[in-house]
Amino acid sequence: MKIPPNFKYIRTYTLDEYYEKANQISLPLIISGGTVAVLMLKNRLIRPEAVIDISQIPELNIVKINKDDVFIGANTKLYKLKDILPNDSASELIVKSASTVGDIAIRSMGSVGGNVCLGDPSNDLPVALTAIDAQAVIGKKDGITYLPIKNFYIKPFKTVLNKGEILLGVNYKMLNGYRTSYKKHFINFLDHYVGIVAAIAKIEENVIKDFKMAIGGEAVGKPVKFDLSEFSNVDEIKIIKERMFDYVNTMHIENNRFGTANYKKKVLYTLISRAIDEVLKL
Amino acid sequence: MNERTEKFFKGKGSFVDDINFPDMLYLEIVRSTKAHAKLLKVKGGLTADALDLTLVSTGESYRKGKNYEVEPVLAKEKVLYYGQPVSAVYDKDKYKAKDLAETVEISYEELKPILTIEDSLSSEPIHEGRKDNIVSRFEVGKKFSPESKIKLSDELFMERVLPNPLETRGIVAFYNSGKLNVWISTQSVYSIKNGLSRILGLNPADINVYQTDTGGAFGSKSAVYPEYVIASYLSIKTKKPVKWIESREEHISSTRPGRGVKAQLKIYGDEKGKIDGIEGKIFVDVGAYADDLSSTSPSWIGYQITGPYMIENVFIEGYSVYTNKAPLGPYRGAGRPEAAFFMERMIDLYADHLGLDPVDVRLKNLPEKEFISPTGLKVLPSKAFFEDGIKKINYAELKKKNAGISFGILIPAVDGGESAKIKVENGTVKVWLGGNAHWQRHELFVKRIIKEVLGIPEDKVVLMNGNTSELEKGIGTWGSRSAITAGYALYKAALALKEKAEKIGLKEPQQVLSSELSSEYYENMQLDPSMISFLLTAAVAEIEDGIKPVIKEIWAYYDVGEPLSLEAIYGQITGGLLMGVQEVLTEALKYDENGKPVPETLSATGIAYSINAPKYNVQITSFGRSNTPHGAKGVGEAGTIGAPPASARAIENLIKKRVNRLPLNLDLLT
Amino acid sequence: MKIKLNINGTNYESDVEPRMLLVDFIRDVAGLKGTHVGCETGSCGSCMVLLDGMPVKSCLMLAVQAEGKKIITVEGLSGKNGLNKVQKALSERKALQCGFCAAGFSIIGTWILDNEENVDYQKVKEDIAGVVCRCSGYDQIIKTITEVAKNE
Ligand SMILES: Cc1cc2nc3c(=O)[nH]c(=O)nc-3n(C[C@H](O)[C@H](O)[C@H](O)COP(=O)(O)OP(=O)(O)OC[C@H]3O[C@@H](n4cnc5c(N)ncnc54)[C@H](O)[C@@H]3O)c2cc1C
Ligand code: FES
Ligand code: FES
Repeated sequence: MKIPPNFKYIRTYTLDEYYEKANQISLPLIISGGTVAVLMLKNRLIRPEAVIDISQIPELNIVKINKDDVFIGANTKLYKLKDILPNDSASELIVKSASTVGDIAIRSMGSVGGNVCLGDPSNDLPVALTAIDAQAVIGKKDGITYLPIKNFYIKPFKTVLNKGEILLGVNYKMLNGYRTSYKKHFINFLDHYVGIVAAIAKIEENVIKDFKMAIGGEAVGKPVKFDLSEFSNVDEIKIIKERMFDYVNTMHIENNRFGTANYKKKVLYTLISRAIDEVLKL
Repeated sequence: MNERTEKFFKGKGSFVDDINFPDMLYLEIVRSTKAHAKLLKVKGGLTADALDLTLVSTGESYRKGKNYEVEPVLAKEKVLYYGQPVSAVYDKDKYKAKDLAETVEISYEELKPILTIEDSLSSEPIHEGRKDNIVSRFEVGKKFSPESKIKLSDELFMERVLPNPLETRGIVAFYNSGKLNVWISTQSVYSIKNGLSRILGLNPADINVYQTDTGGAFGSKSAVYPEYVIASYLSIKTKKPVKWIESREEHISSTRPGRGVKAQLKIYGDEKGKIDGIEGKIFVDVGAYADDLSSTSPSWIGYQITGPYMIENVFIEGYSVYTNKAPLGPYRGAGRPEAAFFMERMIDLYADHLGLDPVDVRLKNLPEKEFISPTGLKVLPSKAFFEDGIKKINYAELKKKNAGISFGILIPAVDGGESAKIKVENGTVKVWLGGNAHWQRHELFVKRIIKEVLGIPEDKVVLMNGNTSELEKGIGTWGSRSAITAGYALYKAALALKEKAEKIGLKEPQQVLSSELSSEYYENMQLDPSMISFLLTAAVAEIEDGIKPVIKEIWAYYDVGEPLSLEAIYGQITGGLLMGVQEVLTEALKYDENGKPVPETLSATGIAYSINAPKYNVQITSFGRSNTPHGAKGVGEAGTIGAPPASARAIENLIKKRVNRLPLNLDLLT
Repeated sequence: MKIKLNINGTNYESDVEPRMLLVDFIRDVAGLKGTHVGCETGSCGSCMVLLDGMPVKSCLMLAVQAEGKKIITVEGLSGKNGLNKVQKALSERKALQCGFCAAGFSIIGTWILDNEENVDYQKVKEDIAGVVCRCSGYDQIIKTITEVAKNE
């Protein structure tokens, strides 16, 4: 049987309480929904002195829809996003991404914060959030900082968060009149996503006004962001695709148990190509 | 309404982990984390120092001095596979038992693991005192010197696959007043009883084995495993009930997987599609230790290699070889899917070479009358069946969708026969079968046979779980045997009961029902070609976005003899088909370069989820009854035999590259 | 630590270790054996229960996490002796074989019935994607849940 090691359990009800406890304890583990945290415990990959349950902290349980931007509290359950987010295009991309996570049970247990903070290259939201230039809202004892999601990840399973810090939520600007596309490739025996692509674009009078894209997944590692600015003067889909393919070719992709480099590249080409077709078809 | 089924939905099933006793101890096994190593130190728990036994082979053919290496209950001096039991700890709290397991200290001197058939053949023996890694050699058929125009050869491979029943293995052993009582999730209470009695040296009369509700098995719950011996031993020692429940992780590392077979084959034929012969070598990777079944597996595959066809020349050399992997066991189909995959893929190769339709080549090679192959396999003519099937599945349409087709046979493992017992008690008829039920289908055919023979309504009949104290002798449930063997025994037992009843003047079913009669019957059987069923399977594939192979449709036209219950058969067939499909796409037990299993979770073993299910078109038919009073044939393994070659071919048709290894190598798509 | 969980409308109070998994609380403390363990890693749904009306995998939750929530297990889907519509239909149509997955499909099927609109075969196929049945090939399960939902 997989059974967690012993630990202390601390349920925190306010952020201050969290900061206090997190700083007191030598090795704390945050738990929100617990889908991954409990699994890590059961695998005894981590032996925290205490598990700090943050699910009752009110600030993390809100979703704030402002005039131009949205804040999603870290504890927000993935399945709820489709009902509470506004219907702008950026939110649409997030909902598309969240609705592909695991199965209904995982989505009803799993939180946005857990999805963003684990740093597993197979996680969905980081790719969608990177594409729309979302920000991580990070809380610590002496204040709040905002960091672009694309700078949140250091390497697989490592984020910028330090001990005593916490992700309060994510924040992003609403985008209107965009097309969105979210693609990923899963083969069940891998338990991992080989490639994930999120794209969003605005087209007016047959001109590409804006285009943002992020790629992620096991083959890529931490999410990588692309902008129209990098393709300046390009209005042809073919050329954008080629540039993206060139980029994939420069990436260091390994042969490993998730597949050969050749296959993974083909997956990335295909997903990129499909996503670009969907958002940029004039 | 069906009580037995209903209870599962009420949460009132009684699976092995649901069995509890006061004062029960929970057993945890400490396993090797190396695939091949010398044990320098093992400190803590129950070790081979105290319990130095091996799993002597069970089964009818058991003899002393078998020339293969039998697994020790606990590793001694050396470990030969990742996951091998090294020590055992227990506690009355299952969480504490897990903590205790962590305190056992093991140190290893690592040796190079042998992980493939190729390496096994070219490396030093992993067992001291043997001259090489070959477990056994066989020759089946007869050497021949072909003068055929066409000679084609290929190497085919089927990766190891885990049985992965949804309920893992488990046991509760309770030694009480001189008797060892065992509750176990199993396919055969008899192999458990015989095995434990032999291994532990107990008098069979002092062991009772009770089958709990069994959450699937697929081959994994027939053999005696080290954990069963350890749990029984500890219960005898402590006089307390001892429970062991396998974790999925342990299932992946230590339950016996199936397949793991390589074939190097040559097919001979003329230019018109008439096959002259099949020849080659079959290698089975039996893992670190062998038993009767795994050591004879190559010859069993070779024996049935010709399937439904009339192929006059057959010569197969078979080898079982040792590797540093978990010992091999049967997986749904056990040898039948291997033979079908090899033969069917060779026929496709041959048809392609000639530019002929693979179906035409197949039809052309079916016998006109009963055919006995050079290996001794006897098959009845089946042209009418397959021609009919080809129409029924509308092959002409399927061909436009690049469908793959397979023809196959299902040889039921009827040898040895089976037992059944009927006991009328308080107005109900209780039935025990030697083959232990874990399919609803068993219950349905039991009810039907009782109704047919005794006229007793189905709702008065209860199929009981296997129980050695009620029915002393029996075999087990595997190899698509139960409907035929247990069904036959039950039929005979019912007739005997009827006779008894008539003798004392009980004529009406109502009268019998209020009696206290009982009867027991053991029917010894031998395979008869009428019991072999024919299988026609077709698959339609799609490569989604050019990167993801899926099977979209699966067509099955299966001969089940006299069907005992269509509804229940349907589910067994679709279940088998999906397993077969998935074995082509993703399902596999691979090992890394250190001999550690690659998958860490159930999903990573590549099993099928609902979203992987194709659209099924299952047509159940009867191509004659079997020579048994109730006319049944086997069906349990049909899908796992038919689906792999058809699915592999369907994918091959799309990617235009030969598919000769399972699971599919995704690099073929690039 | 002392915790109190509400399962099928009954409060169960017990002194447990914080590490106790919800599924173990349900099975060993509350004694409700219908919820099973199949994989221990969230990949099979044998341990599925409803938590405040939503399906969750009880092998991936600590028992303490469920404090203050309403838990429904397979035993609590309907009244004392009966089965609810989904359970009844799955049982009558012989959709399962070994029956080990009955709890998972009862829970997810009931959730579909109560929550999903415009249910069809494809939707059910996707909704049950987190529950494994190793025996049946899923077809009868999907058909049965779809039909029951359509007749709602
Ligand atoms: C069977 C299965 C399938 C899955 N499929 C997918 C999938 O398809 N796509 C996908 O993206 N993910 C998947 N996951 C992973 C996971 O369930 C989700 O990412 C989920 O959103 C995690 O949320 P949680 O609340 O359960 O996280 P938790 O388990 O509570 O936490 C996860 C990690 O994040 C940390 N953490 C949580 N919240 C915060 C916070 N506010 N601040 C700082 N650190 C925090 C925790 O300490 C922990 O390290 C799957 C998991 C399982 C078991
Ligand atoms: S046991 Fe919980 S999902 Fe498998
Ligand atoms: S019926 Fe056996 S797992 Fe579903």
